Amino acid sequence: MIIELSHVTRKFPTRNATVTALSDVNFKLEAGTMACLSGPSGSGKSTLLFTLGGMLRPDSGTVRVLEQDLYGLSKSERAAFRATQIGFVFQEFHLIPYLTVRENVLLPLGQIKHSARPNFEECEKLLTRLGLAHRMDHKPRQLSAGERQRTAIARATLLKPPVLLADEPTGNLDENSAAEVYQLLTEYRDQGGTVLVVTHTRAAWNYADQVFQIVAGQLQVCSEVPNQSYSH
Amino acid sequence: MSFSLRLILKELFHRWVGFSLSLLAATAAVALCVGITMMQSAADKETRRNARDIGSNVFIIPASCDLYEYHQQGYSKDSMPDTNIDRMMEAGKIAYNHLIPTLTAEIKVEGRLARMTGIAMARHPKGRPSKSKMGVVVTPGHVHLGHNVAELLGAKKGEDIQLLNRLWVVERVAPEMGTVDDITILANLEDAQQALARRGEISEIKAISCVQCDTPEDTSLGTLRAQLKKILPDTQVYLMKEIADARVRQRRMMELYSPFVIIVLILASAAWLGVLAAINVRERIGEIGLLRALGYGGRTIGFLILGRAALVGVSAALLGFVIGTFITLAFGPEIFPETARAIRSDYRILGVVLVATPLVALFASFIPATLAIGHDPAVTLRENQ
Repeated sequence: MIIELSHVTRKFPTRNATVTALSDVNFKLEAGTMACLSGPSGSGKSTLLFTLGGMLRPDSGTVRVLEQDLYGLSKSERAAFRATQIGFVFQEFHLIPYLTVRENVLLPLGQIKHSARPNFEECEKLLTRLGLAHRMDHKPRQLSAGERQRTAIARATLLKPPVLLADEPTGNLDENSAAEVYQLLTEYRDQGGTVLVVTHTRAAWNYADQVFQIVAGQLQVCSEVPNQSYSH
Repeated sequence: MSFSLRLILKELFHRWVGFSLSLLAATAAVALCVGITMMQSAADKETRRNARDIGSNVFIIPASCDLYEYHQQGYSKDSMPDTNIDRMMEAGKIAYNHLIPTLTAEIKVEGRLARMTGIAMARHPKGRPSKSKMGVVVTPGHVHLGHNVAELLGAKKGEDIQLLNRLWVVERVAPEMGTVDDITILANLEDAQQALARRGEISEIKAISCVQCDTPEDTSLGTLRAQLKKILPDTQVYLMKEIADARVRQRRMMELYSPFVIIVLILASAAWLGVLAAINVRERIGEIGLLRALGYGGRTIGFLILGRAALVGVSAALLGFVIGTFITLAFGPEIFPETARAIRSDYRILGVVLVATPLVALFASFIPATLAIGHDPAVTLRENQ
């Protein structure tokens, strides 16, 4: 299993009460699959994603990614693990405004050893494949929303991390751009990557191998969609 | 160039308004501190000069002189040997400086009682640096006439007058002072001794008690008397307290003023830099969350925030030194005309500000940097969704 959550619970104390975002969640994902995690707002989808990404320690339970107990690592070890093994795509793109598209995509290189770095040609190939060849030296503000998200996907996949986590990646995109994004994510899955997409749009289900629903912190397998049935 | 440094520089250019405000505040503070420090030497000299010009605050008179008579007449009728001044000068480190020997006597001018005072140039005890001229210097063979005496004689500057059976050249006619100076004729000490037939005699030594000798107690009358008793046992010394206190107040005020202004400047600019750094961190919270998500550690985040602060500090130090030096050299001499030569550019100040300014900027940005490092990336990225 590339991702394995066992009995994960995460609560958030508020002024009036304690909100249980994840309640005894058990979850496994095999390599080379794309899963959708669905559910209403505030149901705990993002909490699960950030817990999986090593950015939110659960109150109890274990999180294993690539056979590694994520929260058994020290903070710096976890950061180093995240840098090379987990890619993130966010709804708000989170591109750095003062860097060009190329520099934004190269941002993860700042944290890895020189010998393991992909060269700049690979970055340019990736951007060309994502249709951003003519945008490499542009700043994020000069891009459309779809181009921004493609840039964010390029940044997340540059180091070819085995796990790609996407939090509402199409939340700010029109239908066509959203379809493009899902196309790219399934391509990444097809190249052997494991993709987990948090979304509340049912359209995303068409691209997923597995769909989970989370309701009040409880995870349920919603359906299984065989790859062959994709209509895209 | 390292990746983090490139990020810092690109961010500085991108958020140039915040950077400019930080730079402006730090540069202004550095320029002011440089200016104050450069002018300190001139200010010290000017203050010493002003304090000295307040006048002598100590008088030494013969032991035989009756204090009641002294105060009623305004001078000592008794005299002491003028070698007393040499003995004081040879005494080494004493709490007296600017020793001025005088000989005063009543004389008749055109049938009216006037006063002649012979005065010599101020002298300094052995071991003390020779300071600038103090008090009145009368050229031998010349006199300075008080306003009323000059009127009485009908004398003007440059004219010859006959007094005490000899001829004198009027070197100066003083303006009306409203004091005993108006009926006083000032002469060179040796001339006065000769004219008054009192060779080798002086009636008084005026001096300034030295406030910087050793400890504040050194200026007390007790110390002055104890010192004088050993050197000149046949004399008595009095401190003119009001003048002495005014001198001390003037000098202490200047001693405290510059450090106070510099500390206030440093604190105010540090507070301003801290606020701007906090605003910068707040603006970049999403960016910081992303960097954490990409695996950047707290050390790198801290470097980005503190590196920015250090760059602001170094730039402000260089700019502030150049601007502060230029302004001080241009306008300082107008503020301290008498001691303008003491205003000089000093590269030691550059060394100090190059170290101190980045340190202050780092200190001011420390809390914002700590907040940035401690910020939970999951919370940041969730909140920014």
